[in-house]
Order: sequence, then C-alpha cells, then structure tokens
Amino acid sequence: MNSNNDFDTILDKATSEIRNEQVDQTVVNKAAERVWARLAVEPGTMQKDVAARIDGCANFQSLIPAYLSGNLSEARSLLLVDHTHECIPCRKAMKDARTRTARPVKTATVRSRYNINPVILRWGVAAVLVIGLGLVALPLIQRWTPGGALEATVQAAEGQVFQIADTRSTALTAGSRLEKGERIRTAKDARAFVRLGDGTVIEMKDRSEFYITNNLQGTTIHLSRGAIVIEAANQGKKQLFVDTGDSRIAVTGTTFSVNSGTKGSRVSVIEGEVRLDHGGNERVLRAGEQAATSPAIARIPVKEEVAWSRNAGKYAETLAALNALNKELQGVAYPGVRNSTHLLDLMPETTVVYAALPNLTSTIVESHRIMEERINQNPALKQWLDKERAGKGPNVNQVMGTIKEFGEYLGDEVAVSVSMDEKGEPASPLVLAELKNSAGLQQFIEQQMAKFGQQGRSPVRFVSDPLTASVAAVEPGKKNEELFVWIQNNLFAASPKLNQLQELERVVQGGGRSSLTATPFHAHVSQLYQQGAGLVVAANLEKVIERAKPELLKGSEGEAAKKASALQQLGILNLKYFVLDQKTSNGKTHTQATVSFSEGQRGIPSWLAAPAAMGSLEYISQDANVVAGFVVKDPVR
Amino acid sequence: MQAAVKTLRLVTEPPSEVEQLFRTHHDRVFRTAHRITGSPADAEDVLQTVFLRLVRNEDSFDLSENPAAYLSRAAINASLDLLRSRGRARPVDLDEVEVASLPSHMRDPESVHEDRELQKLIRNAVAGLGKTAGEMFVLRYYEGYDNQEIAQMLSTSPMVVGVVLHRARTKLRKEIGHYLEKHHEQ
Repeated sequence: MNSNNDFDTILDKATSEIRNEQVDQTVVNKAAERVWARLAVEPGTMQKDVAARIDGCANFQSLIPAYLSGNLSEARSLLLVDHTHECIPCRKAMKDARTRTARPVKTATVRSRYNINPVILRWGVAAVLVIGLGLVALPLIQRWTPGGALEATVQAAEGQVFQIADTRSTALTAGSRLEKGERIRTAKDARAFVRLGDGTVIEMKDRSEFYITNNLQGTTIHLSRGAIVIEAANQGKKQLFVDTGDSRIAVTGTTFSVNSGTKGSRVSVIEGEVRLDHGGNERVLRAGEQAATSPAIARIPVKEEVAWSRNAGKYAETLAALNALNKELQGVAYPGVRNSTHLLDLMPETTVVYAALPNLTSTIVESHRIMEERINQNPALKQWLDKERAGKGPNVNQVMGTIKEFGEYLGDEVAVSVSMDEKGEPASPLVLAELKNSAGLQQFIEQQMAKFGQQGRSPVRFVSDPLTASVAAVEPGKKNEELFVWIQNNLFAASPKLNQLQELERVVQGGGRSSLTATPFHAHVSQLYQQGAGLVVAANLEKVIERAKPELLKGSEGEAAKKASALQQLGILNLKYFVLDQKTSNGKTHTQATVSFSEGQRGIPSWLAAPAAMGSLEYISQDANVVAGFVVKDPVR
Repeated sequence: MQAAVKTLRLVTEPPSEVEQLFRTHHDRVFRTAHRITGSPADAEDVLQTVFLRLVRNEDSFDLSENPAAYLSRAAINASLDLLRSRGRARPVDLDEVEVASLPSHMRDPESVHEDRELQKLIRNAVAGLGKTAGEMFVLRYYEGYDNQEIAQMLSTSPMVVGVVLHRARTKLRKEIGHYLEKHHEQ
C-alpha cells in the first residue's frame, strides 16, 4: 500500500460492502422465533397490566399523564413514544398534554370586602364578562374554525419525497398537490420545495416531515421532525404558524429556519422577526437571532443552521449585511444626558406627572440615512425591505424629511406635565419644548397640517398672547377640540386648555419659575437631572393619594378604619414618588425605576432594606427583558 | 417485511409491551448486529441480549430518544461488547484466520475471500477502538449517518465526531496496515 489515499479507498470500499451486506429474511425470522421463544419464559416478558391493556389509541392516550409525570414503565414508554411517531391524533394528544403541563392554570379568587354599589358592580361584572369572553372566544373561534381551501404545491423535489398516509406512501414530484393534513416526508439525501398559495416557500432538508392545516387565524405548518427554511410571504391580517409540538412560531412575513428533533426545537431568523411561544413564554426573535426550546440543544451560528439550503449563499450575505448594519447603527450617537432643565421650572404647581425626553431627531435621521445607504448597496436586503414596506402608507423618506426639518427647530428637550384639579381629577396636559430656532415654526406646522390632509377647520390654533386670547364659542352639547399653541422667543407650548397657557405666560412674565419650584417633588426630579437624565417619567404619588383618599376611604367609620388599615399594610398610604429614568450609552439602554416611600414605613414596605448587593442576580438569564428585585431586612420573616 | 413478521403469530390475547417492541424492531436490531459481527449466530445472541436487558430493566432508558434509535444504539454497543469479550480486539494476522468455504458461483473466489477477510479484520479492529469511537465509527460507516446526526444522537458536536472518526481511521490504518501491504500491493 503506497499512500493514505489507497488506505482510505480500501477502507471505504470495505465498509460500504459491510453496510450493504444482505441477510436472507428467512434467517432473520428464524433467529427471531428462537430468541422470542427464549425470552417468553423470562419473568416480566409477558407481563400485562390487566387494568390498562393497550388496544388502541384510547389506551395509548390514557398512558400520557403517567408518561409525562415519569411514572410509566420503560417498555410502555417506548411503545407510547413509538406509537406517537406514527399516529397523528395521539401525537396531538401528547402535545396538548405537554402544553397543559407546562402552563399551570392560574386561578385567582378575589373576595371584595368593601361595599360597592350593587348596580355598578353588576354592570361592571357584565361588562368584564362580555369583553373577557369576547377576547378569549375570538382567538379560539379563529383557531378552530377551518379556513378555506389549502393551496400547497410541491415546487421541486430532489431524491425520494413521499406523501405519507396511514400505511401507504406515495412518491411526490414537482407539481404534486398537498391537501390539508397530508404529510410530506423527505428521505435521506432528498430535498423538496413546497409553495403555498400566498407565495410562501418552504424548503425541506432531508429526513424531514410536516403537514399543513389552516383556519381563520392563518396557515399552520406542523413540523414533525427535521429542518425547514421558510420564506414567508406577507400574510396581511393573518399569520403563518409553525408548530413543532413543543413550541409555536408566528410570523407575518419573514425568512427563518426551524429545526425540530426528539430533544426539542431550534428557531433561527434570517430576515424580519418571529414570535416564539414555548411553554407559555413568548419571545420575539429578530434577524440573526436564534432560540432553542431545550438547554440540551446546542446553539450554532444561524449561517451554519441553514448551510444545507439551496439559498445558503444568499442568506449568509443577508445575515452579514444585517449584522454590519446593526453594528453601524449602534455607533450612532444618542443625545447625551441632560444635567439641568428650564422646562420643569415652568410647569404648574399642580403637576402630579412629569415626563421629559431628549430631542432624538438627529439620531433618528442619521440611523435612517445609514440604513438607506446600506440597503441600497445590498440587493437582497433591498428586496426584503421593499417587500416589507409595500402598501404600508406614506413614504418613509417623506416622513423622515418632516422629522428632520421639525427637529431643526427643537432644542434639547421636550417635556409634558399632567396636573390634578381641586376635585382630584386629571387636568389637560401641557407640552413644553425649548426651541433652537422659532422663526418659521408656525408656518412649518401649518404646512405639515395641510400636507397630511387636514381639511376644513384646523384643530391647531396659534395664539400670540394667551392672556388676551379667548376660547371660541362651541355649539351646545359639543366640546372645544382645539389645541392651543403658543410660540414665545425660544419656548414652544401647547395644551388643549387655554388657561394652561395663560398660567404659563404669567410664570414667564414673573421670572420663569413657577410655584412648583418650591415643592419637594420639584427637588426630587431636579436631583435626577443632576445625576444625568435621559427619558424621565416622574409621578407625585403622595399628592395623588392625598386627593384620592376621601374616595378610597368612603363608608362608615368602621369600614373606613378597616380600609385605612389595609392600605397602610400594603404601604399605599406611604407612597411618595415614582421615578423612571432611561439612558443610552455605548449602544446599551439602561432603565431604572424607583418607588420611594415617606419616612416611618409601616406594613410590608417596612420589610425593605437599604439598597445593597444582590447575589441572586447572577442567576438571572441574559435573555431576561425585565427583572424585579428586592432587598429585605429579614428574609425569614 | 415488518408486516409479515407482525402476522407471524396468531394472537389469541393482546401482546405485551415487550412483545410489541420485539415485533416492530427485531429486524433492525438483528441486521445492525450482523453488520458489526459478521455472523448470524452472533447477531442472534445480540438480539437476545438487547431485549433481555429491556425485560430486566437493566439499562436506564433515555426517554428523550425514540425506540428505534435507542434499540439501534443498544444493538451496536452489545455487538461491540460481544466482539471485545471474545478477545478478538487484538490485531489478527492473516495466517491465524481460518479459511471459509466459498459459494461456487462466485467470480474470482480469491478476491472475494480476501474481501471477506479484510471485512473481518476491520470488524475486529473496530471492536478494539474505544467505546465511543467504536460506536461513532459504526454509526458513520456501517449505518450511514452523517456527522451532524451522530452528534445529535450522542449529545456532542459535529466537530468532536469528526476528530474522533479521524483518529479512529488512523488507528485502523495501523492495525490492518500490515495485511493491506501484503494483499493490496500493485
């Protein structure tokens, strides 16, 4: 033997002969008879459970609860698993039982101890029932009501592709139609393309199998095993689903891959986004992202997941382009934090909610410019984006142009306040913005209103002097729906109520500091600015509760005392402020929400300790979107 | 074929679970064992061993696998264990191999005989590989699974499978190189 190649050739030939070696069936059968004869006398071989003989599907399905709880014998488990591979109703029953097991049913009973007007209560319950039933029933009706005829055609078939039904299988070729519920399966080294009536194309890897159903919600691809890549057409109002037994993926038009095996499923997105529902938990996956339904399933690069596909090259190019675009977008500068604000000082003293956000127009416009540039350089991306944007309203470029132009007038910040009147009811909001350039802003707004088709009387009314302006008379029974706008030097103000602007003008004329600046709420929010503010939302809960207390504690003296005690225990009467602050730095967004209580906490809030390190955070998944944590003084308590 | 086996016995009462499994999968188990051992008698032994273990619950069954995959792997491992236990794992020189009788209708009897001897040597050498390497080699070259599928079955990565198979082939080259040099020189 002269070389390694010679050895490889010889070895491959020999192993191929071993692999293809035939054994006479008679020899096999006779051996089986002898072995069975010996096994039959072994204790346990012929053991039958008289109470639960497996005669058919009903018996198999009765074993499912024991199987899922791990109490079924090994032999029966093997039989049950084997049967579900071939029986659709039993496989469905297994999936449904798994879903019920994964989603614990939550029942909550709330017993009201407080007297509520019986009439109001009855109407309230009736309204909730009607709305609730409607919300619950509608999806169920949509899901179980059959849809129209299914259009599914085998577009291309390479190798052995079969349509499987009970005990027979029929070879499929290009042009073969698939009916609802008919299984299509690819053999080893085979591949198939199936096209649905809406233009969706499903590419099947070898050793894969699925069947399709449809209902009012949309079309569902039931993937029994193997891997598929789906280029989903735009579904309009419906959705396209992929059901793998342990998860459900919903899309409205995108390209993604699903790989399903005995250990679970792996979903990878090439373009667009999908919603993955596994065990009652829903998650959104975007281009380049991947998720598996079991920790036992290894994650692999999305490019590798679809390397078997005929369009692997195109997908790899798209993924690389999206990845590069994403990195570039992360580098776009966000507005820096603001360490002070003039707008807060102008807000009315009765402000109970204050929100402020930075001027993001330059960030938005720059991100859009980068996206357009990269997309035009990449034909695959451009094709996908044109498909996404088709028939979706005003041209994006047109909207961006408007945003850019508007942003050039604005300063660093826009703020909104909501006040509370003497009755404790929320008053109309007041919007304030600093302006870099006020000249021409009114004309610009009027032009935009005209462009977007505001016919007849405009709802926006510009006032040059709020103190001398008056509200226009309205017809009896109708409300004034005008939005009053005042542009003064470098200040923009808008409110549905003229008196808000009148009060503002008095503050401006008096030096630019309202009575709010003397309140602890103002000091609390100002402190946030000193630390650097991004998007800010702050609520003066103490004031809200103070105004709402009479209503909350309505009733006889005894009842009022009970309610007060309950509210005290829950800490509601001690709530002071709620503040939320969101900042972006180095491409990452940090959000922090704080609830503060007044001194002398009693009840549940008194259990809270001072902020401290939380070791339990190490166990939080990287995929978590929201985390809530508490540091308590005495955990045992 | 499986349908024929299922009607082998007239069933007067419902079959047990083990019997149902045996009926469905005995063919697969026997053929897998025969590929590895090269002997119908050994394959029959392996068939009995696999189902006996099932009856006696001697193996812990991984419920995440399907029965076909589980029984295939059980057959592979039982077959390799059988070869190892008979002490055939060491390299065997040509002179020690007994000459089998050949069907008279075969063309070129000498080359057919050599092929059979080579297959025997390969089978023995495969049994001499480690437990995991032996199983991977059989899954790849006797059963025809690709690296990705083997990785999934054995809960590892395709890269690991590739490395193990490469080393296995290198070891086989050493084990049977002498025989090949003697009989496959140009």
